[in-house]
Amino acid sequence: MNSEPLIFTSKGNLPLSDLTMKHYWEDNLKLTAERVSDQEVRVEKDGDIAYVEEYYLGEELVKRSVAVYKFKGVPIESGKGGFG
Amino acid sequence: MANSAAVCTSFKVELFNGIHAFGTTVVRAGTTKDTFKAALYYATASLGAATTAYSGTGELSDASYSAGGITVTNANAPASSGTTAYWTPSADFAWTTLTSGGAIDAVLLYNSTQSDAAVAVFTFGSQTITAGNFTLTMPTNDSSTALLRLA
Repeated sequence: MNSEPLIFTSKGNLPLSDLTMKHYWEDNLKLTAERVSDQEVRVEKDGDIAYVEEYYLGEELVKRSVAVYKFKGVPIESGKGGFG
Repeated sequence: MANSAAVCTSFKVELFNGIHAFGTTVVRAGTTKDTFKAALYYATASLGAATTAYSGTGELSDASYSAGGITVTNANAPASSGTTAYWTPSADFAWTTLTSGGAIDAVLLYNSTQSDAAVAVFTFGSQTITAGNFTLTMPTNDSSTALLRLA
């Protein structure tokens, strides 16, 4: 029985040994700095970083997986009125 | 002691729990928890603050993707810290063997129990997926980084 590992690609299941794998990080990090006092600056991190894994059959990309890590969600600002 | 004007923190948590109904008539029926879903959109879509409900316009379209997106796993009760109420899904948003057929950069969180009412749009660096897995890892569930925060 052939026990060679296969992975699912855009061309169906292909032997892993026929493919070239590349992986890298994408940095979509956003930093904002706010001076809090003469001695202190607050730095906030937002945006995301992504881990990308690609498989190539020759020069052709046949599989691309991505995991995105988002640093923050979105804020809902509450407020209140008052009496005139 | 003195009084201070504020939106009560407990009220913010209660909003997340659907406690308060400000409508002049009964708008919401039912007392079971809602189901939320997450749908992916192409970078050419036009989601934003004006989005009121889920729509298939601009949504990822491919045989590998189910229109409407995935059901959000919700095992985190809304909480508060300081004066901020917050909530984050208890599991990442994940799709397997996905082909995006174009660049995607947004996910819409919406309430499929309440007429697909939109909750929020979250964007990320534009990505193309080819016969692969796509995972949106949740941020830390605290008052500074949770997916939804009501300050």
